[in-house]
Amino acid sequence: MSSVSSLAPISSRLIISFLLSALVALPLAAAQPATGNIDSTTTTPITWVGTSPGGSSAQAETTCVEGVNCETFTITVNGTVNDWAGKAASVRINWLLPATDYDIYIHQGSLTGPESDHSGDGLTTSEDALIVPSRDGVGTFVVHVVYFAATAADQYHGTIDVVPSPFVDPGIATADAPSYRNYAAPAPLGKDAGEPSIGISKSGKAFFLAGLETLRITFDDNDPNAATWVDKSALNTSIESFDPILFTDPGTGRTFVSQLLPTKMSLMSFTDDDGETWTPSQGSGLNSGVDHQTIGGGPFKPGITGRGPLGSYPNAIYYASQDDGLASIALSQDGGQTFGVAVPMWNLLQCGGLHGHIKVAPDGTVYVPNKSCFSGQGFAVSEDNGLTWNLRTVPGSISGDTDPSIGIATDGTVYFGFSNGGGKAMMAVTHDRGLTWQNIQDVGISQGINNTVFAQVTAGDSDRAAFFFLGSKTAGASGLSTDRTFEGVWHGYMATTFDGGRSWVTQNATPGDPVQRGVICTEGTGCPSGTRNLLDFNDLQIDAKGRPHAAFADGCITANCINGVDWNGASTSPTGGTSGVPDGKVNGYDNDLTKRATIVRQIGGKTLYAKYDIPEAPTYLQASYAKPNVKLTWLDHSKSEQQFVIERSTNDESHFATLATVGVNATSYTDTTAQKKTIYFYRVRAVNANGASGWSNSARVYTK
Amino acid sequence: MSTPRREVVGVSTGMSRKAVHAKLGANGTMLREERKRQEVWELRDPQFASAIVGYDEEWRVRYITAVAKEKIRYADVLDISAAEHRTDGRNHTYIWKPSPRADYVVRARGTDPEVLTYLTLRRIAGERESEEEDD
Repeated sequence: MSSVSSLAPISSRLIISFLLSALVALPLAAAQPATGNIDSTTTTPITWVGTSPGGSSAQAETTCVEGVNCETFTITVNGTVNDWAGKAASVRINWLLPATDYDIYIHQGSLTGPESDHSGDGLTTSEDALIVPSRDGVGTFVVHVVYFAATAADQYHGTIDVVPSPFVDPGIATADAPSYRNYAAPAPLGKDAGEPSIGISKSGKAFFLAGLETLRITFDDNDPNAATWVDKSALNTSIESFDPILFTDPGTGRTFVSQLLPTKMSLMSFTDDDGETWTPSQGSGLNSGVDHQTIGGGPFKPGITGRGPLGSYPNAIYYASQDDGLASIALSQDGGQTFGVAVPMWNLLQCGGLHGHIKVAPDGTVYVPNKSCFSGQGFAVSEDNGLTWNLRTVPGSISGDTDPSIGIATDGTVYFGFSNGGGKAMMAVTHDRGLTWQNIQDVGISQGINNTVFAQVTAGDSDRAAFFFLGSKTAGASGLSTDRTFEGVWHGYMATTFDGGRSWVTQNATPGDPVQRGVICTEGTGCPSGTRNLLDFNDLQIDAKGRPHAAFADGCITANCINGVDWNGASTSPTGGTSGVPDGKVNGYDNDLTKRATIVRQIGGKTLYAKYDIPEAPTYLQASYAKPNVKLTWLDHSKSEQQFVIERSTNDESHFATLATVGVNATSYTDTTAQKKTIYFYRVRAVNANGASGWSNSARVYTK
Repeated sequence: MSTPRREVVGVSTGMSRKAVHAKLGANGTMLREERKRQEVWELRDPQFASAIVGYDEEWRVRYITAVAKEKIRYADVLDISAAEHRTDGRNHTYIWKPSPRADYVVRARGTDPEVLTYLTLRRIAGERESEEEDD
């Protein structure tokens, strides 16, 4: 008994092993050829043809007979998942007659492996399925073709192509790209807007400082064409200026305007009622020469002795400038009425003297960017309300010609945009106040940008930021120098990220209308006449809905300049060329040398706050008939949908009507009302309080 | 009572650029020029590691700021009892006009209550920046 019992399992194993070996050894009917290879860079489709006779209907994949009414094609997907980022392998089989019916199933590894995809429509001449390496991995996949109602007389042909993936891969922005509109100040306002600054008040009105003019702009969300510009200048900030600066505290809506005076002081006023009334303040607390004054503000960091609010105004206001070879910053604890002792942030041995705009994080950390610290670009940072400062730079950055800029997200993530030495538009991200950096990249590369100036950055949610800069596709550092023959064309570009800076959507925000032709000289007072009309910086802020508003001075406003006419305008005569005589080149001599106040404002697409998103459209809608119902499946890309709306059309795609709505995160629906032997088309979209997404693809099914 | 300093590392306000270069060049190297007619110097001086010099439109010294290398007390360079003292508890600035007729002030800054980091001589007579508008 014991011996029998011990032998029996061995015999059973041998028998099973023999049978398995025999099964494996049997030549399963397969496609011709039976195998293929594909990688992410393949450009020639992989092809094969069927060889099975078919004839007897295979009711399902599980009941078909290999080599008779089903067969396999094995495809090896080469490379890594990263190689396939944003790509997929499209599997398609074609045949001639709609009456013929094949289905396909794709399995990972082997026929018994997990199913990646399938397609089983009727009354068609093709079936499509996908292998998505970012979802399914790479390696071996088996395409199982089932002869549902097919014979060798209408044999199928198979192809596999590399196609864009409908799936959202991490790090690849597929968001609805924002759209923008340009608003120029109406004459006679805003003619002298070199180095402008902008703020958005609590009421949503924008303030634009154009030299001595403080302009208030009212937009109308119901009419994107409408913008009303009004001069609301304070008396003491409209007299004289060596440097103008405006700042609106986003936490309180208070708007500050300061003008640097040649007598080494600043005149400052602030308003809490959209410029209807202004309160003069002490102005800078320090001796405010030499250059580049700037104001910023935000919450106090709690717990710093002696450096909290001293009155009803809750936030810290900072004023920075240079004096005696030092860049210093002073804190106001009473809402900008008075400023305290100026604290040196750096000296000229450590960093260049100029600096970008002050930014304050939600936790009170203060940042002042600099284009040239220890041969790189970075910022001074204070974690004690401006009492002490540390200098930190972006590794690998090269000192530049114009100020870098900082955008701070709601969680404190810092987006640092800069025109790198050589002119590329660079972005770097830090989550620890500049101790370490991530996602350092050229965001202008997709637009072919070679020269950039005037980086400006703003941020919203932790993973969202915008970066505005002037860029030219024309190479050559002379675009930033004194060369009036430089033939570059400059536009305003807006780069936006929705994934924490891993990827950026970069758009020309001033299409068809250059900001400048020729050189934008960045050498300060060393610039020759006619090259420095735009002065030293632009500005970028967001409104309460997270829509970027960029302020810039437009140096090219006439039809001749906009259209690139070689006309050598009147402005050329003092410095070269002959006025009115073409010289065969369109360059700085054909520029207008104006500086007209202009705003680029977002009017559509995703904003920097997700709570205002319309949902993203679902993709990859599939419809399959599982008698007597039609099952729909789709991919949900939205994080903010409240429901999905499903529509159905019978026989064609012209009569869609709502079939059903399903709830948050749904990815399937079963249509139990389908009639037999009918062609249906389906589509689905996501909806929330902000609006509806676009429609998915339409999916067709025949209820056989 | 400290002796009023009329110069720092041999440079005084109103001095010509040529004279500055002769003085500092003998005991240091100019690292670079900065916008607004400013120069950055590295020094071989027992007391000061470096200096920043700013000029007016006629290239005369508007200010000189020297960065201390060794411990220099505020009291060594100005009259503390007569100087204006500004502090937030950590940062200290002393501003001293040596005499009513002096055309310059001495400024000493630092984060130590006794020892300075920066020493500046700045001209005050006819003070006006050298640079053009909108820069």
